Amino acid sequence: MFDMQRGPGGEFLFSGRLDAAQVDRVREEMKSVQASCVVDFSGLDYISSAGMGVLLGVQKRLSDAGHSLKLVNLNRHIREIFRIAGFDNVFLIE
Amino acid sequence: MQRSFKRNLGSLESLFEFIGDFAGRERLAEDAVFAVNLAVEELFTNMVKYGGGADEVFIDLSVCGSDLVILLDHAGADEFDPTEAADVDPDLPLAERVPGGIGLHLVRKVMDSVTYEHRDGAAHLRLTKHLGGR
Repeated sequence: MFDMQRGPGGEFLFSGRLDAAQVDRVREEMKSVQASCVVDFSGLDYISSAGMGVLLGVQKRLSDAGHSLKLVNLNRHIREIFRIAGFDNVFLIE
Repeated sequence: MQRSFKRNLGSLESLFEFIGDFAGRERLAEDAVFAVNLAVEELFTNMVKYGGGADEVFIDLSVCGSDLVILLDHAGADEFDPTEAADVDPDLPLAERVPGGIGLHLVRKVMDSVTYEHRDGAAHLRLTKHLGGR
């Protein structure tokens, strides 16, 4: 089960399992993001390349306008696959 | 453990449950469970999107000695060898990145071996991961 909410500061709060069956929702809800934004992974247990690809697309779009996504509170498994994919070079990760 | 899954993304929920049951039975460590979930989802999703062929994919999970073994069989699949897909260059700048190709790159990195064979009109994938202390 995957869920995404907006926090009090406008940050995205991801939780559960972000797999290929869930990415359309993420893509749709992140369409409206036009400025730098935080995505909080503290409740996220799992992500696959489908979700990573959506985040990469948002990052590219924001970057063209001088903005970026910041990803925070990644668990160690997610942090590791982001490192393997070189996402630590294209996202600010805390 | 063996089971066939309908070849659509709606099967992912039951696929993860199947892996979870197997992981519980074999008392797999969290790292191994994450790797199996990721590798199976990536390859199954590829079969859903690009594979053609039968509307079911057969999956077999087992432990052989100290190795986890995953088999994915897809009858009637088009020929596509995921072991020959290009690696992602992790040093590419953002402007040169494309979303495609990440999944197969991750599969090869989180598993110890991935072999592909197209035989008798079917795609056969075999993945192994050394479990160490599980």
